[in-house]
This record gives sequence, C-alpha cells and structure tokens, in this order.
Amino acid sequence: MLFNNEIILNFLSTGILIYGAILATTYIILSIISAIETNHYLKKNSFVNYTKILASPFAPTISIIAPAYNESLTIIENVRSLLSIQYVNYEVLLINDGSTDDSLEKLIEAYALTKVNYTINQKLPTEKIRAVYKSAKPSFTRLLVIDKENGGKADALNAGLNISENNLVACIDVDCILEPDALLKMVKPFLENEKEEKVIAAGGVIRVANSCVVKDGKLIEVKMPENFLAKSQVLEYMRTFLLGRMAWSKLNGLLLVSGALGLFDRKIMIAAGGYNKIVGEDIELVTRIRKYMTENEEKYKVVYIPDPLCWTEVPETYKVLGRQRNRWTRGMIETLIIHKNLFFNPSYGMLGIISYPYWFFYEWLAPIVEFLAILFFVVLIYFNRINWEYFILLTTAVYSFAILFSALSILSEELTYHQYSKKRVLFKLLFFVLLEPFIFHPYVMWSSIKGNFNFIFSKNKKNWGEMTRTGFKSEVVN
Amino acid sequence: MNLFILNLQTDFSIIVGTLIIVFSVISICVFIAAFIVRHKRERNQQKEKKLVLQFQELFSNFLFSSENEELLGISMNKFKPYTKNKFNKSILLKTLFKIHKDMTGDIAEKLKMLYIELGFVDDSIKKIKSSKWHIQIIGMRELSEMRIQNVADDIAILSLDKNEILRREAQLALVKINGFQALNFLNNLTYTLSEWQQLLLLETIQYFNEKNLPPLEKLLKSENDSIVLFVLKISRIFNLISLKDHLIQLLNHENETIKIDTIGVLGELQITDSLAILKRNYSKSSKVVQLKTLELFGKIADEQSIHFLAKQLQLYDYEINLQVLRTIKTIEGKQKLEELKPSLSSKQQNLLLHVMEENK
Repeated sequence: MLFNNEIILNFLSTGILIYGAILATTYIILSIISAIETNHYLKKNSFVNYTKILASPFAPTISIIAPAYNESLTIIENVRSLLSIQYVNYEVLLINDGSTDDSLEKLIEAYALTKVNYTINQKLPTEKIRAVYKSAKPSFTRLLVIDKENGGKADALNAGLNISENNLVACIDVDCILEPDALLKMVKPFLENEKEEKVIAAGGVIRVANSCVVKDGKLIEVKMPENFLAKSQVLEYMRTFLLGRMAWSKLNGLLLVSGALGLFDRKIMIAAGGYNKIVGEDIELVTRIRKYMTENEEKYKVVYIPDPLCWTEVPETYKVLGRQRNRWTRGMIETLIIHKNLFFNPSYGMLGIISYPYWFFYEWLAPIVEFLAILFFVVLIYFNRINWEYFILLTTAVYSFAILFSALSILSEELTYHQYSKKRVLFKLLFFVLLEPFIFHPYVMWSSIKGNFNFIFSKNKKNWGEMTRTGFKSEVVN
Repeated sequence: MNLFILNLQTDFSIIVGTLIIVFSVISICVFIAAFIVRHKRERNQQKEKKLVLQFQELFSNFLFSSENEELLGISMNKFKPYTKNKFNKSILLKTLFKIHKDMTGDIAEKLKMLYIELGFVDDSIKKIKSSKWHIQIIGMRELSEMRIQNVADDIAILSLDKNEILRREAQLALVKINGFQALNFLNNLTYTLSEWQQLLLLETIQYFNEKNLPPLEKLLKSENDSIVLFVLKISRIFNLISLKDHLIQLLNHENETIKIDTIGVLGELQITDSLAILKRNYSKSSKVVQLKTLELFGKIADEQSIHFLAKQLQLYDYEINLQVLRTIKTIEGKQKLEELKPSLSSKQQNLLLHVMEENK
C-alpha cells in the first residue's frame, strides 16, 4: 500500500537524490579547498630546514605516549622506530595496557629493562599501575615502560598523560612506523603561531604500511600492498587525507586527529578531562578540547599536516576490517551523543554550525541513507515500481563520480608526495578505482550499519578492537 | 500535466546523462594527467641525475683549480653552456647552493664569484620582484645565502609586507646579509615574533661575533612580550651577564612566561644575586613560577638554601615536592635525601625513592 502511494515514493526518491547531490557537492567544495590549502602548505614549507629545530636548545620537549595491548609480534621493532626519531628533546612512554601475551617480557629482554620506583601524579583517573621500567642501557634512556592493569586505549593514554611532565604530548598507535622527521613537522605549527590563536592539536597523514619494507623500525621501501583490501584502503586513505582533512584544517573545523598520530597541548588535554574511555576516544577528545577552548573564550586552532608522517598496518581480512569499521562507527555515534549540545549551536562557532552537523549528516547518516536507499530499491523491484532507465542513469552517475573522486586523489598524490614510485602502480590503482565501489565500499557501508546496530544493542561498547597483525617485512632487532 | 512530467523526466535524464559524461571525461583527463605528471617527473629525475654527475666534476675542477685568473675563467666558462637551458640552469643553481651551504672561507667566496659571474644574481633579483610570494622567498634565500649586500634595501621593503611568510623570510635574509644591525626591525615590531621565527633568527645569529651585538637593554623593556622573550634567548646564547640588573628586574614582569624564561636565563648565567629576590617572591608566585624557581635553585643555590627548600616539604604537593627533592639531589646529592627520609611522610618517601632512581 505504502509503496503504491505516488507522493511517498516521490518524497523518498527525491529525498535520497537531494541528499546524494548535497553530499557530492560538499565533497567537491572540500576537495577544492584542500587543493588550495595543500598547494599553499607545500609552497610555504618548501624552504623550511627542519633540522634547525633539531639543533636548537630551545626546541620544546615532547613526550610520545604509545599504548600497547597484545602487540608482541611487532613491539620490539615499534619501540625501535620510536627511539630513532629525528628530534632532540623527547621521551617515549610505552604503556603496556595489561597485555595477555608476552609483550612485556619481550620488551624487558630487548631493552634491558629494570623496575624502578616511580610515583605518579594521578591527575586523571586510570587503572592501577603495576610497575614502571627503565632501561639499564644508556642508549635507551629515552624509554620508559609503564605496565598497568588493562583499562582500554583511552585509559592507557590517560596514564601516559599523568606521567608526562612536558607541555607537548604525541599520542600514537604503537604499531605505527613514524617518519623520522614526523615530530619536527608536527611541532612547527605549535611554534609558528603569530596570532592569538593557540594551536592545541596537530594531526598528520596516515599511510598504509602493508607490504612496505621495514628495517630496524624504519620504513625502507614503500610498496603498494599485495592484498586487495589493503590496496582499497590505500585509495580510501588517499581520499580522506589528501582531499578532506586539509580543507577542515583550513576552515578550523577539524574534528578528528587520528588516534594513530597526534600532537597535543598536554595542559589543555588534562584541563578538559583527558581521554574519555569510549571506543572513539580520538574524535571525542578533539571535540571536547575544542569545546573546552570555546567555553573558556580562548582562540585556538587544530591543524593538519599533509606530509606523510606515519605508516600503519591496515586490516587484510574482511573480519578484521569489519570489526575496525564497526568500532569506528560506534565511537563516532558515542561522540555525537556526548556532545549533542553542539548541534547547530552558534555559540560554538564553526564547531557547532559546520563541523558537528557535517559529522552528523554525512559521516554518520551517509551509510544509513545508502543502506536505506538499497532497501528501498529492493522493495521497489518487488513491487515492480522501478524505472530502470532512471536507475541505470543514476547508478552510473554515482559510480562515475566515485571514480572521479578517486582519480583526483591519485592525481593529488602524484602532484604532491608521490610515495609509490613503481612504474605499474598507477595502472594497478586505476584497476582498483574501477573495482572498489562494487566490493570494498559496500562492505565498509555494511560494517558501519552493523556498528549502528551494535551500538544500540550491544553491551560491550568498550574494547581495544584487537587487530591480528601480520608484522612488517623486516629484520630482527638484536 | 502528464506532458509536463514527461518533459521534466526527459530534462532530468539529460542532466544526469550530461553529468555522467562530464564525470567520465574529467576522470579520464585526470588519469591521463596523473600519468603525464609521473612520466615527466621520472624523466626529469633521470636528467637531473646525469646533470648532477656532470656538475660534480665541473665543480671539483673549478674549486680546486689554480688561482690563476685565466685558468679560473676557463673553468668558469665550462658552466656557461648550461645556463642557456632553463632546466639545466635550475639544476646548476641547486647544485651550487648545495655545495655552498657546507662551505666557508675561500671556497665559499669562489662559489659566490661563480654565482655572480654566471648571472644568477640578476635572476635572483628578478625573483624578489616577482608577483608570487614563494618565488620572492626563493630569490631572497639565494641572495642572502650568497651575502649579496646591495639588495638589502629591496629586501627591507619586503620585511614590511602584509604577507606574514614573506615578512619573516625578509627579516631572516636581512639578518644574514647585515648581521646584528638588521635586528633593528625589533624596535618597531608591533606583532608577535613567533617562537619559530625566534629559533630561525637565533640559529642565524649564533655564529656572529658577539662583540658586534647591539645594546639590548631597551629591547628587554619592550612592550612587545615576544621581543622580550627573544632577547632573553639571545642573552642565554651569548652569556650576557652584563644584562644582569635588567634581567633581575624582569622577575617582576606581568607576563608569566617572561618571568619563567628569565628564571631559566638567570640559572644558565649563574646569577646568584637573584636568589634573595626569588626567595622573597616565592610565596606570592604562581605554581609554575615556583616550580621554575625551585629548578633554578638546583643550578645556583648553595647549601644555605637547603633550609628554604626543606621548608617547601612541609606540605604534600606532588609537583612542588618532586622538584624540591630533585633540587636537593642536584645540590647535595643522594646522601642528603637519605638524611631527609625519616622526616618525610610516606607519600613523600615514595617521591624520594622516585627521585633517587631517576637520571635527572
């Protein structure tokens, strides 16, 4: 009955169409802003000699907080990578969040760690700290390993915030391989601010490390992943980072500094209450510190650095990918609910008027609308109400737009950082651009729908979302 | 009515069809562009590799050739054919600067001579007159790297430009060319001198002869706090004990960051005269200033200050107590901490064990 009503049918189909058109237009606008801003960034920084900060005694000290949970397979190499960063003043706080594997034993052996007396200033509540370890070897004096009861990633990060005594903290995923100059590039925005706006956070580009060659914790050779899903994520990351976040940074509306790598003002993080123990702790934190600054009438900026700074292993199986996207969706929903008072709230400026509604309507609602559109399509087939000519035309339009968007991100990559130097990579990417909308995208959408479903019905909303690691192509660290 | 809907539907099909064609055509163009960009880059990289090899040989002959003017001229002339092609010229310039960056003395002078002789100066001057700010910066960088004096006035104009990036680069270029004298711009600076710019300026001036350092007393009284902070850094780098009295006055400055940095400089310069004032101001200072003061005691305090420090252990405060214990350890060593242990609360004893085992 319902699907025989012309008015309802028209309303639904027109609604979906308008939503899609607005979404596509938004992407185009963001891409244009991103392109302009990336061009400006590249010009501005083409003269910069980052080693000048490296040599300066006035360079700010940074604490790197790296939480780890059951990362035994790669932990030694990950820590080695962190210890070989190009920066003068920094320390590495590795938080072992109650791992049930032999991560801690491996660390103790590899870095000659010994237990030390350590009193912690518990500014943020965390699970119990079992022990603090330092290395007996002078070459590893920067390293401090904190062993604590399991409390989740946010809890581990809060423990790191309690221990750090420095104004700047880099919160990273321990499995990431940082570019040696990552901290140098990230610290610059905190130092170059001439206006009254205080830089409170900086995020960087995350790249896909699957199939790359890593030696002694350093990225030696960038390779295109061999696995289909990983390859699809290369494209996805390119689109997200090259074409989206730079625009949000320009608009000072960036809500997400990836949990994989972010540099923050520690005092503001603590004043705002530290990480919230939810699955999407990264997006929630940025939203909260932005709110905190606005409520305290302080001018601030969250900046984004388009240089490739951090390489991470992405899921290679549908099961792990599904879990990851499910977790991301739940995290986003929780953040949207916690900060619902931002919704079109002009007192929060850009945050309330643009950023929050964008996340609400596009990041959260888009997969739901897409899923509902597919359901609507199936129902229309059942009732024999499909206009096949329109359907084919619209589907082709969406598909060609998706291809265009991916193509632009590939061109942007070629014009900027061109990390994939192998000759046939472009052909491979072209093939995946054509294929991805049929396989990868529907699966990601479905995982997001499951995330929504689980958020409503599942009790277990807080977990690390374990990821099965395959490890990098690497050499053993002695 | 039906006719209208039919028209509307036809129009819609045409619009969507056009969009498909537009998206597809742009996609194909974008892909082709990506292939062209990659091909061009790879070709240029190969060309550059070959050229750099050729230039290395030419530079080695030029730099280590005889001082005889005629022979030098012959060596120099070998570069000239490369200045006719834009790409070759850019690689030659790049190589020249790469070598110049690591050279000093006669070799640097020889490279400067080559830079002038090959007409690169005019190119650089053209660049600073470009309408594009990033080209202007390249020009300024080249001219200042080669210390070309007669362009200082042109660059000075750019140091007042509205573009913040251009302005900063012009300040740096002027300091490179004119030395300390160029720091005059600080007298009239109304905007904040960013920490980044301060680092870059310090990196440049640290190699200058401090005898030529201009008087800084007036700048320490500047209303622009960023300038005061910058001068404090200069005082630290050049160990300017002569500014002692002015530095001590800054302990009463309204800006907390200035107070903190001043305490840091007093410690670095070992100005013990400041101890009495710092002790006097301690109780009415903010916690961050107190912490910095306690840290300073570790650098300049004597045994008599131990009593003052021990007094700060009467109340438990994690940060204050931790710093006090660290300072006592620095002044008197671990032995003194052992002596203090019985008089401390259990929480403080934990802090003491923490301090005993750390490397600070």
